[in-house]
Amino acid sequence: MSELYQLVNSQKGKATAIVGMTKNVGKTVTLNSLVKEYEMSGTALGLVSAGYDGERFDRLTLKEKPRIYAPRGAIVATAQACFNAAEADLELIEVSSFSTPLGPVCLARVKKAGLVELAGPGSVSGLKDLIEKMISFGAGHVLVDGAINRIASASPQVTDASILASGASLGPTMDDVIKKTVFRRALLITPLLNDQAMYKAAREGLEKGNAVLLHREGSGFHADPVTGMIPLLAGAQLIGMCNEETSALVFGGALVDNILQDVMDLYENPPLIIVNDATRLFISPEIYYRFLGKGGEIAVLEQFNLLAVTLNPTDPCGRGYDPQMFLNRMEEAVKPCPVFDLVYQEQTVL
Amino acid sequence: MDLDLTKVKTYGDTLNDGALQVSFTLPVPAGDEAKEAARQIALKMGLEAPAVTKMADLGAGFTFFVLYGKCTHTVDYSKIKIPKQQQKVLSFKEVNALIKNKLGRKVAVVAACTGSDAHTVGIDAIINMKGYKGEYGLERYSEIDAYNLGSQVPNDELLARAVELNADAILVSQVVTQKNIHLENLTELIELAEAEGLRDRVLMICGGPRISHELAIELGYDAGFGAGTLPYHVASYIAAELVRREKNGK
Repeated sequence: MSELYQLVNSQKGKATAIVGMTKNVGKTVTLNSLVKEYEMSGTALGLVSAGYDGERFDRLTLKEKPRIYAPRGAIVATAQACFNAAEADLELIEVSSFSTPLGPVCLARVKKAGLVELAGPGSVSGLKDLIEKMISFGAGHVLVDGAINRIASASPQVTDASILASGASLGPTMDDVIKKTVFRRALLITPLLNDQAMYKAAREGLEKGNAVLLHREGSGFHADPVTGMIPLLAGAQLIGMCNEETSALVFGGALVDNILQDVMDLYENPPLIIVNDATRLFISPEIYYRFLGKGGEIAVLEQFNLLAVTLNPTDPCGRGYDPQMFLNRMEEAVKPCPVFDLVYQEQTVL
Repeated sequence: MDLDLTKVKTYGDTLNDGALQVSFTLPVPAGDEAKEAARQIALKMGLEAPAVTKMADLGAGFTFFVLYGKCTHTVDYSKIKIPKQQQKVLSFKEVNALIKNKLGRKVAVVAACTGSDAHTVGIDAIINMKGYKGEYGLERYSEIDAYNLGSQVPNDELLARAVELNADAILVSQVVTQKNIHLENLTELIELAEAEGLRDRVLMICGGPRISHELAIELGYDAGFGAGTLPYHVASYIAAELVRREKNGK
């Protein structure tokens, strides 16, 4: 049993997302490794993609990609055309209402193991629905393969835990790759808001508006909800209402650079920033670290559970790093988060 | 003529002769040595009986070749399975009629080149009234209100405008290169739409020379249109999908 499998299997959740820093960082390799372990353990897996996985060649680089092997008994969710073209023998369970250019997403049980292409529903709400369906049809755990650099599938509202795949194709140097991965991890592990009174006020405020201003009032907080056409616009309005008494700003949607910049311009000591979860953070490293430097803090209402980082030391379009050195340096940089190079570690164990 | 689909070979004059033609350039001056080099390249490619039929001096020490040879490999055509999209395409008039009869309201489409991209040729061909290749653009459709926001539009601004205009569909044009430039522009828009709770409210469509339906699925879009797309392809998709969603009560 691999350590990564033990990590995934030891958590209580029903679904794990594999997300990547960019293309070609080994998301599917990580998925396949877990699929193999689950097959040996006898657990029926649910398999779905947040994008499109398992095709033979990369659509942009035209290089060969890892295929996806679906073991017998697994439940897969994939677009109709991929269902029809699968090498594995699939038995249709249900045609869902989620449409893709390759037909509606179908749920199917694997009768005879083989390769499949997974084309997902495109939206996170679709993923959430399909995960629940796969569980109801008997999947013991669901793995969600990520797409490019998208992380919305790892939102705590959709999956219970996540694995972050990173690798050489992320940047021109090893230092750059590590720096970008460290930053992404820093955002993902943004801490849970632990002030109960504030948490309650933020939640209640978000039911009335899509951005909320919190002021201390007695032992609790007074919430000023603002409703904008989209949460982002409400957030921008919120800036204009800030004053010295403001304890926290709650954003119901995305937190972008401009807003954080405005907060920094307004305050010497910025109030607490609260977002729903870490997938709502769209901020650049420069702005983020400057905000922290000013003593700023960000908290989430739902915690992101990052299980591990996996590494691909080679970039299919060139560059490659010494796997052991890459592994050591990444481990050091993201401590105490476990780091794995599944391909290299399997080779060195044998 | 007995064609064995399990062993398909390239065709020249007779079935299974394996004949094929390749053309390439070598960075050496034209001459007998260059010709021999071209033949050796072909042999290494697995071609039998390679014959250079054309050698042209490109100048500056480069030479262009056309070479015939025989391919020794076969493929099993009967085992090939390719996932294919099946989408019915409607004409300009049919799209307008479908929207009018089945939706009973005008459809709003917001289009832009986002991020750092300023390649507006594609999106203009789809949106502009005069259209492209004799096909009217979306602006000309009586049942579509099309808004072209232009180039280098930030993703957050595009989403805000789309909500303001009550858009049914967002069209994003992007030139995706091999080095993934602009690719992350496209994924950021989707992630932002998810974070803002807009993803299920609007059809998200991308387009550009390297974009396909499969890439669109990977990017998280509802549909993607590549080279050769005409305005009515996009309009048909939007109209049919909106009607389908309305029927499903979404």
